[in-house]
Amino acid sequence: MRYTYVLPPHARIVYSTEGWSVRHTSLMGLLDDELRVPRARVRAVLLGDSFAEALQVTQDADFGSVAEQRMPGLEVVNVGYSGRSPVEYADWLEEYGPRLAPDIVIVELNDSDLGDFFTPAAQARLAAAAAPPAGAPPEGRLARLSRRVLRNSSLVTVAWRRMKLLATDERAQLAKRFHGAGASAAGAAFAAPAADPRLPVLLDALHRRIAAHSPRLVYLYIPGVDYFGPRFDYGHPQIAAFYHAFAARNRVTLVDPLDEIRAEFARTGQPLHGFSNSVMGSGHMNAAGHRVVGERLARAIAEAMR
Amino acid sequence: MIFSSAQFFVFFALLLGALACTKWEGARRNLLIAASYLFYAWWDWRSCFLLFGVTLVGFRVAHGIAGAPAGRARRRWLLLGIATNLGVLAFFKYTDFLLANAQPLFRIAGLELPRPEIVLPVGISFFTFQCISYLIDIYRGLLPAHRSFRDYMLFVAFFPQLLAGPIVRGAQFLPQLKREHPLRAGDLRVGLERFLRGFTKKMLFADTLAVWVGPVFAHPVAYSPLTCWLAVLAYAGQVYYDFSGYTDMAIGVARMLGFEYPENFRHPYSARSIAEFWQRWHITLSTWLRDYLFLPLAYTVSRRIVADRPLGVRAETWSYAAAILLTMFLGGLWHGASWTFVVWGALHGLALAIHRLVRDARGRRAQGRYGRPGRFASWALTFLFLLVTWVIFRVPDFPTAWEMLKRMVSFGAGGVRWYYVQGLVALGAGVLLHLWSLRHEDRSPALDLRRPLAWPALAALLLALLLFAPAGTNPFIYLRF
Repeated sequence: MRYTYVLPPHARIVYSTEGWSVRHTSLMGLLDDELRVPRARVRAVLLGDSFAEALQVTQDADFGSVAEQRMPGLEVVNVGYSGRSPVEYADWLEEYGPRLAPDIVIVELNDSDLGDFFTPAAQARLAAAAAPPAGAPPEGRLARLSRRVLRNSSLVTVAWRRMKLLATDERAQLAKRFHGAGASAAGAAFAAPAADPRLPVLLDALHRRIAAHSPRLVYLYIPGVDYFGPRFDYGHPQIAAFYHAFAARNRVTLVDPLDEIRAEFARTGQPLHGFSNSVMGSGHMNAAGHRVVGERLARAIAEAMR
Repeated sequence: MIFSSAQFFVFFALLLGALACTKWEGARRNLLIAASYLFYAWWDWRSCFLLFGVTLVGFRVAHGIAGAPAGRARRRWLLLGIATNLGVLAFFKYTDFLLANAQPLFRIAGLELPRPEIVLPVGISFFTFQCISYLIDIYRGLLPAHRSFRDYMLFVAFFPQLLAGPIVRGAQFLPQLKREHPLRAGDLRVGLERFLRGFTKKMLFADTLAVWVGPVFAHPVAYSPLTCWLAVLAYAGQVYYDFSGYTDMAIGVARMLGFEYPENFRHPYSARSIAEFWQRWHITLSTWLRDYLFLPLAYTVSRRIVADRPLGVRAETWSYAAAILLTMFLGGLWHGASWTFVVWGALHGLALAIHRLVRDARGRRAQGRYGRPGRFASWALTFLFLLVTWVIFRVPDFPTAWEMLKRMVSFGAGGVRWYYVQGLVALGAGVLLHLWSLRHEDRSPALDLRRPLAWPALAALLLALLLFAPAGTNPFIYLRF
């Protein structure tokens, strides 16, 4: 399972929460192969969260690897990591981008990213970017010990995360009890950030920072899909519309594979999201979804490199 | 607040602490009543007034019945009590249903009926039935009217059974109030074991299976036939583990407080006939329906049949069939104000009537003639019937039921194939547990905390719950009723 925020090099990771895979980290602590020597003809850096990390499928089946297979001479350095938000992509690229010297940067976006802008951690990071804080307070002995235990025991890590999840659920139940927040409003709440007037400004500012370190830039939108509704559509059309407006406003390429997903679903009848140990049709993409997105991404990279 | 939530654990721990500090039985009962009303108010504080009103009327009517001379006066008191309870139930539970069904008729006349938004008080079907049984028992002379209003309040509002049963009768509960109920280590241990059993059923089995059931029943047309079959099987498991888990927790909580409740389930899916199923499923409801509805109805019908063997069938079989059909029709309606529940109940009534007709035609001696294959065929047929009727019980409307049933009988390869791993594991474990208990005279595996290995087993169980129970609070299915 995952350890803490930074993965150690050459670690073995068994993931079974959703889908199943056994993965190994590279020397850089990335869930990817080692950097190619000699350097590939086209080096792409893929920034993203759990959708790019793709722990749910085997390493050769994630969309970055599929794109590599479809486009000879392409190397996709996958720096996707669960829980990471676009707020952190620019930081990462500014710090590590020059060492990798990519020919093209791919930024993966999905429906949950907009909400990530308004988490306390993201807000703190944005504030820190505006005004660097003083040094972090020293860590106590208990905090150090708990960090070591969490770092070294997968079981404790999982149990701890489950307890936090249950606590969050209880808090939500209590909030519902006393403030009457309906569960039915969850979908609307999920898409609500798309209507926040601060968001275009924040995302445009981030785009400018990312673009400053990217010789070429492609945004890849991985939409949630409503497979079983009255008609096949985006899971959150407002969010899709927001991303398309963002791309048009900034004149950047936004790869949206909804049409390819629709065609594949019509052909096979099987959703491209979900697994046998989770809910079919929701959550992360399965191997078929990664294949379709990878093929679309390879075409987009080829066009961008032309 | 439901039994499987952290809120309940905090509530119950505080209650146990307060009870441990209370020496007098009267104070303990006051505390239990206050806790029960607080527990109920957590859902909706306004419903407490209804609960108190029903209690007050029940207590007064009970004394009216007991104090009236035999004959019409007693009968009038009884009718008043039954009408009050059924009136409350009908108003809160069925008003919207009746108005919705009457609407088309009124539209023809150009009238639009108002649709008031009536909040259904949770547990209303259970505590009204409990009050009715108490009044009928007094009327029949089976039970004296209880003198203490406080004890009667506790009987009606006692929180372990308040929301979803078991339907406890006065004769089962009120005699227990003759003795004191201090906290006892033995009760706490036995009650905790029972609670843990129910908690495991709910969290590991019912909630896991619910993950599979929900999406497939929402869009049956999208899924493959095998997935639909498995989802129906999963629902059969979910509804059993959910409700029997709730009952185990209720019995366990009551036992920890020193009270004993009747059993509500006895491995219902091992039944080899639909009649046997109802002797094993929701026993307190089926016996309630039998004693207070079916038997009076059957008696009334049998008095009206003059011929010995109308149409060549014994008169008592006819009266049984008529009474069981009506009883199960109303039993279905009791579950919810929807035509799907009515049809579900009617189908069960029809099956019970046919079973009786066939049994009478073949004679009792014919039973078991075909040995083990015959018993297996009886079980399979019963189980298949239950699966089909669970579809109607689960769906929101008939078109969805039709889609699901069509999907189940079509053998095409199309549709989403979703073989939910955790659900399959839960189903497999459920079958194994069922088989194990059948080999041990209907006893489920128990966690005896006095054994030395029980505590590591308990720790392993809690860890399994923490790691594998699906996240999110799922309310119990029967809380809707």
